[in-house]
Amino acid sequence: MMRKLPLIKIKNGTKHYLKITGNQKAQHYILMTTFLMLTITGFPLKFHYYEWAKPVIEFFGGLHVTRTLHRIAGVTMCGLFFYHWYYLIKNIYNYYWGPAKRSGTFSWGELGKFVYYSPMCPRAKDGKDIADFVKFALFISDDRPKHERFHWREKFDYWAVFWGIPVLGITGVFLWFPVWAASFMPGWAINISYIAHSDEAMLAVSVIFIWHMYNAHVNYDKFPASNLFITGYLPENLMKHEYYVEWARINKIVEKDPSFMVDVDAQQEAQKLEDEEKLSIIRDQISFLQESEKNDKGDK
Amino acid sequence: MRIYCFIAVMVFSLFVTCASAQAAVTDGENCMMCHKYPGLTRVNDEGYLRVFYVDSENYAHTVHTKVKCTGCHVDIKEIPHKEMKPVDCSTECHINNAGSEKPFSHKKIVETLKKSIHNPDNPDVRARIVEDFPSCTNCHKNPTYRFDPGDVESVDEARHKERVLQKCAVCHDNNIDYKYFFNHVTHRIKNLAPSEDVVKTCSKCHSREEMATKHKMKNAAATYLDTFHGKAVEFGMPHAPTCIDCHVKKGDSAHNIQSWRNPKSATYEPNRYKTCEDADCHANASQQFGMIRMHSVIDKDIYPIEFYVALGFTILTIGAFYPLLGLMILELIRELFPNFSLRRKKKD
Amino acid sequence: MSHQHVKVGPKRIIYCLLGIAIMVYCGYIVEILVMHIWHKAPHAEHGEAGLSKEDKLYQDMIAGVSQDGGHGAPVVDINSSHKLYDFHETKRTAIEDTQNLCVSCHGDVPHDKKKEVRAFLNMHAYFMACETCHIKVENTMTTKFVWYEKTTGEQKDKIDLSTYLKDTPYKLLPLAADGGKLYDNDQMVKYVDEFKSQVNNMAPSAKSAAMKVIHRPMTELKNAVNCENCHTPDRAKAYLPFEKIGYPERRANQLVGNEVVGMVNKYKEFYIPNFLKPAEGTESEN
Repeated sequence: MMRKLPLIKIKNGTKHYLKITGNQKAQHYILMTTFLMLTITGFPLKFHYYEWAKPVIEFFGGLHVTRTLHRIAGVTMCGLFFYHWYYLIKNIYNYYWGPAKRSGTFSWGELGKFVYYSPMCPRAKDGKDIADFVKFALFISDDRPKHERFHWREKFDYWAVFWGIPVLGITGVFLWFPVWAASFMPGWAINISYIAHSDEAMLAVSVIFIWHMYNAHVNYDKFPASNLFITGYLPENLMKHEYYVEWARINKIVEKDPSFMVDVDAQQEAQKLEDEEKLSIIRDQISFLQESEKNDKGDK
Repeated sequence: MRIYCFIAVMVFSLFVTCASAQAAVTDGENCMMCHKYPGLTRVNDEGYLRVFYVDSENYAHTVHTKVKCTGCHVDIKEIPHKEMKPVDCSTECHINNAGSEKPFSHKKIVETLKKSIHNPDNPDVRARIVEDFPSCTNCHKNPTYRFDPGDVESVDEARHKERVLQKCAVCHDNNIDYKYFFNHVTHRIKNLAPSEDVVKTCSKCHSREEMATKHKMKNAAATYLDTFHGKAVEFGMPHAPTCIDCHVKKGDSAHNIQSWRNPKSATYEPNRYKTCEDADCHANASQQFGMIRMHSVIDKDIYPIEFYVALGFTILTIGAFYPLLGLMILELIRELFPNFSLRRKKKD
Repeated sequence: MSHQHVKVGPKRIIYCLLGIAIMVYCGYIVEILVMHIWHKAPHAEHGEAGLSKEDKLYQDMIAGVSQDGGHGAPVVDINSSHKLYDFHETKRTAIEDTQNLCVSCHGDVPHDKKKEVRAFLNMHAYFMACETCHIKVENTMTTKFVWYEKTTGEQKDKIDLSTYLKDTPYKLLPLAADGGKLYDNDQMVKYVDEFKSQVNNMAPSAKSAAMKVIHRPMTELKNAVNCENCHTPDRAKAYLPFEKIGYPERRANQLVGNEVVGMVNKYKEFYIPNFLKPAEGTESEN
């Protein structure tokens, strides 16, 4: 079963709320590195007529190298895609299918609800949130919409990647093995793959580098950079500000079961006390022995 | 004293040998008296700079080194020179065809070219604009020998170039020609011009938009550079496929390029895949593989499928990205005036 | 939820304004990158690396001709001009003369009138300043010849002339014995600069008057230097003091030898009976 992570960590006097788990962080790391690698090795080819293209290719050691790196990164990213499917199904099994079957309360309707209310699934609320956000941005309302664990911007990123990887992956394989692809498809399909691969990549890069970077890493509340993708935890002010519903949900759980909250500060404080105690015992001992040695000499 | 004299004579004779070797340029007519000056230039009426300077050192290492000036510039008969016609490469020049005693000429190649698509009389030509069609010098310069006997040393250090040539001298004693033939043969053996040079040569005409429009063609160079073939050449991949690799049938002359509509052409649609399936390229290519477009343009009339796919993706990108960008900008404006509200006014 | 008043500090204002600017710029960049497949023309241009540049220069040059049209010959740049044929791949470094006042208008390839000899004259202009031939000094005692570097203007009495003047960076220039300029003195340089800056607004009559002033030293002298003044069989009578300016015996003899002199005579007979004589009317324009 899953390792139990504390939902709230208290550090330096502020509460930090759990946003993404270690496994999810790892997936994000892999996605991030492969994405950057694919961009940096792919863009010089797409935009070969700019002056920066050649130096980039030469920096890596020529077309042979960038081609290989691009394919390795692409295969890794597709591997992550398949792993993610496994991860989703595993979670459905672990958190609903298995327990419900065992307890004999399984119903397809409830499975649907489970999926519908899972954190990344787009819901009617997201539509409302977007409308509310537009109202807020146009000064019509004064409040930002209250979000759950993942708000509509994050869901957009997630589903963009979910759609993008198959498109890029399949067209990428066609371009990688054109002879094989042309053995069962007309020639123009490879031309289309080329257009689709490069245009979809352009969309992905512009959305990730501008929209995702802005929302997740540099927007005003998080400026200059959010370290969420490293720590997995968000400080309370951000959590409350951006994910009010999730903040409330976690608070409720913690109220019920305080074991979900780990007070790092208190632990450190306790550790400090313990350390001081140990040190004072040792120091007392040393000074006592030194004292007694002195007395011995005096006696002589 | 005598030994010094001897050394001096040796050194002197060495100098003389070197000097005479360098002066081996065929210039019995002393053309270089004037043409050795780099400033021998003028601007013609159309504004082009005409350079009459010939770098004799460079010329000595070119494939035409044995041909004297008047061998090609046949109508130069007197000084001062009269206005002359451009050099015709099918002229019989003053060297002998090796093996026969006939004077040498590029006539055969000129005739091949006349049968190819690069001749206005070819039935597949769409616009017969005679002056747009290439002559020899549009593609060819006077190339220097690609194989330098000095390269021999890099192949095997034991083979000093002098020793290689010595072997020739065993039979061809006192015949300076063996050096020439060695250069000639190795030049032909060595790999053809680098890929980017081939592309550059064809690009002289085939990259020009106005030329393409006139001749109802696509911009072949630009479309080629958009393919992985072109990018490989652009980024310096060795042996990257050039124009010639696809448009010239294996073993055929590059002067015999035919229209893709000619059944004998390397790019004739039903047989095109045969050109692709060279062992070094795309072995086992299928017929459809040959139909992958290598000069693809986004054009509704020629390639509707590509056009609509590109259109779809462009709309998708613009339709997805710009609304998001708008939201980000709106949010930033909202951040700038956090206390302003349209609703508050209503409340008042 | 009640609303607290949010303080808008400079940090927030800078952040937001900068953010908006960056966003708009990003939108612009993405537009270029996304739309590139729809713009055929500019994309197509890059393919011909070497050629398009040459072509562009050619276009510029042609444009320059029509602009200049009225006043004098175009400035012809010896390196950037479009070469019509380059079969012999002439790899010259061809340093452009930035020092000479005449060249600043007439260019490095100034001679274009007399069809049969213009290339010869340009060949000489490659290593001789215009003044060397176009201003004949009567008294060789009051003048001297120096070699100046085409880009820096640094003057030398002698340069290496053991072989012919191939891609030389030097040009021969006559000076007064005290080193004073014969033509392009400060006054003339200033006058020409002024003329060049105003020529487009000048009335035709004012323009031709100014041109006359600028070219007076050339038109006044009936006696320009002829080919045979230097390429003369009698070396003692040669206009140029070959030894003084650094020519070794052997080279000097070549310059006055039968081959050169014979050819000059041939040309003189057939093509240049009026060599360097200012023609009526048009010549002052040039």
